[in-house]
Amino acid sequence: MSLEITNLNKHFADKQLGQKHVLKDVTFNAENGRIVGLIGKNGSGKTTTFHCILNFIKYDGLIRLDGKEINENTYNRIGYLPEERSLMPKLTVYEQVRFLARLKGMSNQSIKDEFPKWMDRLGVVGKPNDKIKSLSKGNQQKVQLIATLIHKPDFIILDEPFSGLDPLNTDILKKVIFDEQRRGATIIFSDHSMSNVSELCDDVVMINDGRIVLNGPIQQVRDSYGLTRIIVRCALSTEELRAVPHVLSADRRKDGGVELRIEDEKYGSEIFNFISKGSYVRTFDHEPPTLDEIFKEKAGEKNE
Amino acid sequence: MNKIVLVFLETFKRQVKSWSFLIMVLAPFLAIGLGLLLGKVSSDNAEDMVKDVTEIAVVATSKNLQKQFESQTNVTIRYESLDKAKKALNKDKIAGYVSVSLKKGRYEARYHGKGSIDETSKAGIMNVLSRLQSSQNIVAAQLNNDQLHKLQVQPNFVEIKNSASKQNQIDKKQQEKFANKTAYMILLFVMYFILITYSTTTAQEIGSEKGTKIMEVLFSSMPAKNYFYGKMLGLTMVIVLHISIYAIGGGVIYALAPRLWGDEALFKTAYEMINIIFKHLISINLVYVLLMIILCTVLAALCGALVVRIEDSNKAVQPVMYLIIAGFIASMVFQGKPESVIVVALSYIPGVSAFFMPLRIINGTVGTIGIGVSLTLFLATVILAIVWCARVYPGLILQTDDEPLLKNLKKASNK
Repeated sequence: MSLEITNLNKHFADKQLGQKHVLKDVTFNAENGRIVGLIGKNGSGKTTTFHCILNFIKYDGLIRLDGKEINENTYNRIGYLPEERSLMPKLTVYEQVRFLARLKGMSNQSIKDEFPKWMDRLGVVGKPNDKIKSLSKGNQQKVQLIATLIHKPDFIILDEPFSGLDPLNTDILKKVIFDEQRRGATIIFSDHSMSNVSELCDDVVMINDGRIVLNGPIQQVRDSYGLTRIIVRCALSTEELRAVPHVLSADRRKDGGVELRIEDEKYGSEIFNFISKGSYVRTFDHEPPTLDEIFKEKAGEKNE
Repeated sequence: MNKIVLVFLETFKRQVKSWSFLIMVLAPFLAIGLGLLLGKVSSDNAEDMVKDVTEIAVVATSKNLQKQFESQTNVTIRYESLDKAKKALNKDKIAGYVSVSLKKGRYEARYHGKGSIDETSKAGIMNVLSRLQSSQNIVAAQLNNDQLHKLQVQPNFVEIKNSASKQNQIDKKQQEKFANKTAYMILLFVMYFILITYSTTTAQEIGSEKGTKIMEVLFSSMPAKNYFYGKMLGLTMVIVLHISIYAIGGGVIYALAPRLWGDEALFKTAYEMINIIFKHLISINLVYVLLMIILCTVLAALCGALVVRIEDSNKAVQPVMYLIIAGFIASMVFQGKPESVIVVALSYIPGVSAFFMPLRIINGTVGTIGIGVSLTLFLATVILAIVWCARVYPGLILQTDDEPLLKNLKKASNK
């Protein structure tokens, strides 16, 4: 299922400003079967964008799922995991999943068939008849994920799915996300960890102060910033490297290499020649900036 | 299955399975049961005490003779011998005993007791003895049939009631008036109790869901307004179930009460009146009660959706409570004046009409057209309230801003 968002605008009432423009002409697409990372600072408008997609709030602009507005049929093809987890504490695990899955159009028999598989797949510690409130926070999170995915949605929205997960469960979730993509689902998720986004996503969309500041395939976005990052291992000290012409900064990394930021990628060969004159250069890795660096740079910019 | 139905079933099931619902429904039955039990036990004790102190045993020389006293009030023939009666007297099981014998064509009765025999028992025993002595005398006199017939002629006593039908009519009217008043009071109190209880429950139920992320998950499966319809249907059906249980329970108690209390005669006289009450309760008045329940549930849900913290839901639902309390107090004030202009006017105002139109219907002071107009206005208001609340509900339920209630409502209307 594909998503098209065109000129999405959203205003909220504000005590001081009267009206706050939280989404400004947001336009991006999520192609069928792609994983899209929606990134941005806290309060940049990521969750509001999700709420607009899901039709929770009124908005100006155009949002289309497979070319159509959200309707009774599209609801059944969507899986949504909200930012904070919340279930009905008095229900049992099975009752909770069954209720939410039934609302997604699943039959009782399909739920009965699929539910144990998902419990195994996510390694939920607990029985189907355990009350939700008796489960640990981590297991409740897994139950919520089961409820999000059990009906095999074509379009999945995950709002900060990794928050609160330990490394083991993070790996399980990453595997599930890749499996869902292989199944053909389109996935859009928000996260503050750029390494997760880099590892999982095909495309990245960054919102800053309600406006799109980055949009496209991750490698393309990084490349568009030029090869302004060099990892170097040589006999020169960090201070000596910092003094090299066109080098903006030099920082030693834990692995022993030094990371250089340079003015422009065209100075790469000049810098290599300069360093290699007086010493043996073991590593000279000329790369585009990381997503993290791009994020920090973009997040620091003012759009208005 | 339709998603509205799924939400309705889930809401209904969750509410009905809760302990609070069970306790709320069973409380009146437990109270009635306990009352019956205590009443039965205390009345049995009282009866036993009365028997022990005042009962007189009759012991006769023959069983046939003893049997003649069987039907007398406060008299027992269960002691076959004088010894047994004497022992019973010593153990204070009886107040005394009378030994009856026939000696030389004359009946003789001797009373033995710790005190004097009471006049009623004495009169009863003497009555039987006189009858027996007369029969004995006739046999001894050897009379022929003609003489016997003449001796058996009894005086004639005729009772003539003046204007019997008129008096009956007055009695019937009084009875009907009393039944009408009782029916209205039952309707009023049940409606008041249900509305007050469920308005708070509904506001708390919706308030507890507000701002939780589970609502976002639910709204990603269906439009929020459809969820609202399902929820309202569920809560309304819980109330309908509650009323139905009371109605069925009331019917069962009505049927079993004579046996439980053991005084069928008393209930037979009350049946006619109870039937009038039932006729008024199971009528168009029920539609008014149902519409009022739906209206208050929807408004209470709206109030619950306005608050940010669940503890504020009781505060938010106050306007609905005031409407109910005001309606209840006003109807108590006017319950004896079904023809008052104020009652007539209020019986057409949607919402308030649930308190006043039943008063007019029960007392027969309104025609079909009047009821039709009032019901149409009420129904239209309920539909408008549902549609409007369903429209603002999505904007309210996902809102977490701690703003004044009216500002929240305004914000939600514009969302």
